[in-house]
Amino acid sequence: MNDEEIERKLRRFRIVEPPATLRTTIVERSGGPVVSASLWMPTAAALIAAAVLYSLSAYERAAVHFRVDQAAVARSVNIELVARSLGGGPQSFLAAKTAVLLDEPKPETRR
Amino acid sequence: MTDRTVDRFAVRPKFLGWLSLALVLPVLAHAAWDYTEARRLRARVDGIAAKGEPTSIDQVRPVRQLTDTGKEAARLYRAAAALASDWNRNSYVALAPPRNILNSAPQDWSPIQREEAHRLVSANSDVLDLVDRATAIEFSGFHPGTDYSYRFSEVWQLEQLASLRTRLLAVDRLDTAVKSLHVQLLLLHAVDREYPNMLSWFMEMISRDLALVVGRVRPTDASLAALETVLEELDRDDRVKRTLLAYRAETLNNGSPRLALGRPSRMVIPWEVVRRPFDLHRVNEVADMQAQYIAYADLSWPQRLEAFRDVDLGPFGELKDARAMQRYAAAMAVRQEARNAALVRSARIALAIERAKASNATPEIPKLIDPYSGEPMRVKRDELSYVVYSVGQNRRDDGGHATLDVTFRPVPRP
Repeated sequence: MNDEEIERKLRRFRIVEPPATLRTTIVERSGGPVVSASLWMPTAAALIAAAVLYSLSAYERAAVHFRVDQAAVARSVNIELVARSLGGGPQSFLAAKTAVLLDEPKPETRR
Repeated sequence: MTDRTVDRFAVRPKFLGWLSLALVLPVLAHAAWDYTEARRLRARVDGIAAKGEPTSIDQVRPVRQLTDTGKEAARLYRAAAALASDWNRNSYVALAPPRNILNSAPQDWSPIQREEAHRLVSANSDVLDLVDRATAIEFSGFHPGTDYSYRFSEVWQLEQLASLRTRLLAVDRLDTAVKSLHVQLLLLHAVDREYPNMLSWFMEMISRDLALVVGRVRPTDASLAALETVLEELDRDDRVKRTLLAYRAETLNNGSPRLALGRPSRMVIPWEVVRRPFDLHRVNEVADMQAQYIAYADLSWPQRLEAFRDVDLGPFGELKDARAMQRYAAAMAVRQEARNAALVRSARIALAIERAKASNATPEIPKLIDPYSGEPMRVKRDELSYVVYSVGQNRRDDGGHATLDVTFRPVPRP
């Protein structure tokens, strides 16, 4: 058995060159599946529309709340006043809110 | 990676696209519903405010700048109410059956009932003294935050106490019974100023006490004129509308926590947000109904009663639906007010007759309309005395029947 014959027999166990089509397959798939804009645009549009409607609803509800809960208006003015006298800032606002809510008269449900 | 795996990944984006759209569309529908209902509610509330009607409880019972006399009256009422706060508990045995002092006619009291009534009035003499002082001065309301119990529960007890005193004095034919009755009426007037739907709590009692006083004591013309003045002020035609406007303001106010912004305790519960359009829808629905009822309240008697003729006033406790509860409450307010008006007007006519008797003149009977029939109130004379009456809920003239008609008959002397 000469060298050539040995080489031919061993070729079965040796790593060989990849198939010629493999490169194309990998390169084409490497970016993942391409999603058409027509698939996600309706979802995105629906989400944006929902967000806009919720914002508009919040605005309308705030306007209603202003009218039906007059105490809330006075309360917010008082909180702002107390917060300002405490120096302003988020901590002052929190302290003012607590103080004003505690100071409000409560319905006399208990003795 | 096999070809099968590659195919599966190739389908997924499209599927995910449709799936996400399917998930977002209900959110969009929810947002649209939320906005529509919020917009409807805002338009309604703006419309109510434009008409000058209350949109908030604070407008129904506004915070007042009390005058010095007003403050003094409020202080005396509060003091009387605080002293009387144990009245119900301490007098429960005496008031409840079998003694049943308040619900039985004082002219028919047994000696034990009479003794018990005396004991209760004596034990609460300080309370009655404070009430006498409070009713003698101008009262314009309570300070904010002190209204709940003083307006509702204790004033009720003050009225009961004053009634018990009036009855004791009237049975003994003492002239001071008229003064005591006048105090009762002024107390009722003070309550009615802020809570128009409370009149029915006391009117039956006051009508019975007045019948006893005019029958037994025979008051002077001046005393009768003083009583008539208060009754005339209580005979208002706007009470139903005021009550219904207050109900609507309460509906809007009670619905407002669900609308509130910046209340973390509310907003962190997703369910509150999820059900918000439905809650807003219910507030709108109930407010629609209430607007209709308020329009009925503008009608004259007995048309406003007709509007609620078919409402079944079964047990309120069985009602679960907000609309049914509001319908019940509105119908009840109108029917109670019809009865109040009948009682007040009967009493006013009776006072006119009594004043004529006291001054030996021909009675000038005021032309007052029967709320049940729309016709003038009826007066029937008999051998003993007379009866002033309205035809009552059955709209039929039963000749002044004590229960079928709404009547006022002076209690005869023994």
